[in-house]
Amino acid sequence: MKSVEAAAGYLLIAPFMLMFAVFKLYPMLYGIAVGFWDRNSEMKLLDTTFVGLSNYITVLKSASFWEAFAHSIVFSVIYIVFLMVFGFLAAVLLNRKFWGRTAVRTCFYIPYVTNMIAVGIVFKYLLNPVRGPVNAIFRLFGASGPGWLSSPVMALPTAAVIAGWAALAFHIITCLAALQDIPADMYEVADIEGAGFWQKLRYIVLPYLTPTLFMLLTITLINSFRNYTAIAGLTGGGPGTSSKVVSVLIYDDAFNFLAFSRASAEGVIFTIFIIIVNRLFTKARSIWESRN
Amino acid sequence: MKRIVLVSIAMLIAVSSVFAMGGGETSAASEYDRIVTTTVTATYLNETWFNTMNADFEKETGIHVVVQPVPGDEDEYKAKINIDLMGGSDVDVVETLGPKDYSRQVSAGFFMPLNDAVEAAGIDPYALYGANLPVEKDGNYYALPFKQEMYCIFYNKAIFDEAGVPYPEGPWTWDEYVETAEKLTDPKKGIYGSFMNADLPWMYMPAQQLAVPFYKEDGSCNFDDPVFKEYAEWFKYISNDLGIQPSVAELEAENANWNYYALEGYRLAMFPQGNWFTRLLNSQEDYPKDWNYGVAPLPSAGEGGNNNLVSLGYVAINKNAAHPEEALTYALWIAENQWKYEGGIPAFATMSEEDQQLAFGSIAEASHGQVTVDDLYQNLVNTGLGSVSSDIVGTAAAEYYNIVKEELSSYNMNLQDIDTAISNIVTRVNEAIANAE
Repeated sequence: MKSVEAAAGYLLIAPFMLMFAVFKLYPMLYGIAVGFWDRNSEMKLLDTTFVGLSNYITVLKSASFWEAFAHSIVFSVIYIVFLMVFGFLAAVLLNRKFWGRTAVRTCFYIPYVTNMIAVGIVFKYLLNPVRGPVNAIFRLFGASGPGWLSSPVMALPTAAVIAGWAALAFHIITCLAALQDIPADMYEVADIEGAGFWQKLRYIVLPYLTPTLFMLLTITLINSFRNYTAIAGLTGGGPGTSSKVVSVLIYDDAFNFLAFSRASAEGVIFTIFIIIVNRLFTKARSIWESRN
Repeated sequence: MKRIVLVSIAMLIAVSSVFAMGGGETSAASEYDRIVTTTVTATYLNETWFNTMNADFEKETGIHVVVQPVPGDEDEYKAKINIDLMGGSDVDVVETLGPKDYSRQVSAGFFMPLNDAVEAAGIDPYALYGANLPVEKDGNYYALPFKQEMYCIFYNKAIFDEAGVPYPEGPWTWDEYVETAEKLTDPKKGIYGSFMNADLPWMYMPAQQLAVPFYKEDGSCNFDDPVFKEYAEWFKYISNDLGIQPSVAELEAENANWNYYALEGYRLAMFPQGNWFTRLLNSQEDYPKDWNYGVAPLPSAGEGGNNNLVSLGYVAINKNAAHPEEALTYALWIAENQWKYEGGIPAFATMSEEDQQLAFGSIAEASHGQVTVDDLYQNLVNTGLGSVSSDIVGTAAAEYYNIVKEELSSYNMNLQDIDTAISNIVTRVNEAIANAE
């Protein structure tokens, strides 16, 4: 009976495993292998020259890679801070009862189901410093308004905030679910004790939500590096190279300059970095959990 | 049992509908004994000239053209074609985006050498195309040029008339161009005397007319030649300091793309562009305007710089082409005829009078009297100027192009000085050249 159950189990997961192997595992392993060969032509991988770590050394010596790397970090920090802070605050506000709450909640959820390229097109129009309505408001007050996506200083932070705004709903939904798990009598006791909004937030909401926030932080950390669509749709990596992140660099190297092996090495190095950051974060989380 | 039968029928319908989706083209193609497949940007499918051209080709040769459109702009087209060819696509004919990407694509082994096949077809390509034939270092050519785009100055007659400034005439110099632009510039009316793209070759255009090589003799980057620096500074000076044209920062802020000048033509007096621009200026439907345009030759860059800039379009055959014979027939036909349909200039080494009439006649006709055949011939071809390529070429050309554009944009936006920009260009390009090799 057990073996029949096991067979049924394998049968059920087989379609997924097959698709995973064909569309994820094989390309991933192939992608890693390309970095060790000189595969920059239509030749089959094993017909090209094995170059060992040469592509990795080239990438590690490249100023363009480190510049894109720094931009990726800046993007991630802004994206994470924006999502964690505003996701949490929006959830707290949406957890309160007020007229039109459902409509407001829906408004928050719409960007999450909107394609990032479409979001990019709309924001490029809204934030156009000359014709866009946002800077038109600035002009009403006699100010010219910043070049949101056209200024080398503003482009990267603006793109990170827009990408964060588009992903905000997931944080809100998750935090809202956790907030609704907090027993109502906790608030009642706090009310009897005379606690205000901020005290309830500090002593009830935050401790209850900490595991959820840690989980969200882990997901956001990983998602923050998946920023190709946001940057490609909003700035294309410019002006100059001011918002060129690693994902855009990899795309350019692979598909515009046909330097597949170098792009592969860039991808692997960056993935290793993400894994290290994630491991450090997980370690910090387990230390915090053991202390609390 | 009943359920199993129902499920089986449903699955059969699902599977057959999937196959049916991919079968339309095959059934259309099956009416023909011979087919050729080609890939172009999806916008071509809406172009009457493109569809007429293929219909005429089919009538003449009996070969059916199956078009595989690629959605997106030119950059996306290039990336998608590269991915497709890298993955072993068997599409037959590819229109490359010109010299910038050609050598890299050749070195990646995408294209078939054409020497033997073209010569076997009784064509002497060296006599027909002269220096326009893209011969690689190995002595082979992997594409045929099917059009050339020549630069000139287009100008807005209404702005000249309003300012009382006579229309420009050649031969003239860039100093005279700047002088004219200064007379036309009127910040109160929002009029710029000049417009140049925040792109290459505009950011150092006269240096390119002086034919300063992009590579040193040893094959390394030559962008530290003082002439490049001089004209990169000149571009910034006329934009940021003289204010005769929108600065790079302003163009970035406007999110200006290639057709910006058409939309903003009412306030841009002169713009150096290639003859492809006539398609846009003549398209009253897509870019309605209430002013007439004129054409003048490109200004000279002084001694040694009496050259016009010329860009080429290439047609190549995929090394893995499924129908190589038909592909050759189509590529040769395109090289000989596409310009007639597209309204462009052929890439022949010499143009007969009949060719000139044909090339410029359709442009003049479409302009509804704004320019004549003679205007176009005198200001694009018979200018007394020599010709140099407007493109960076070589296996790392696409990266070279990108790097120069990025660094000079940063320089123009005051993020770095010119020496840092040049130094960054040289370091990064040399790195790219080493990687490409």
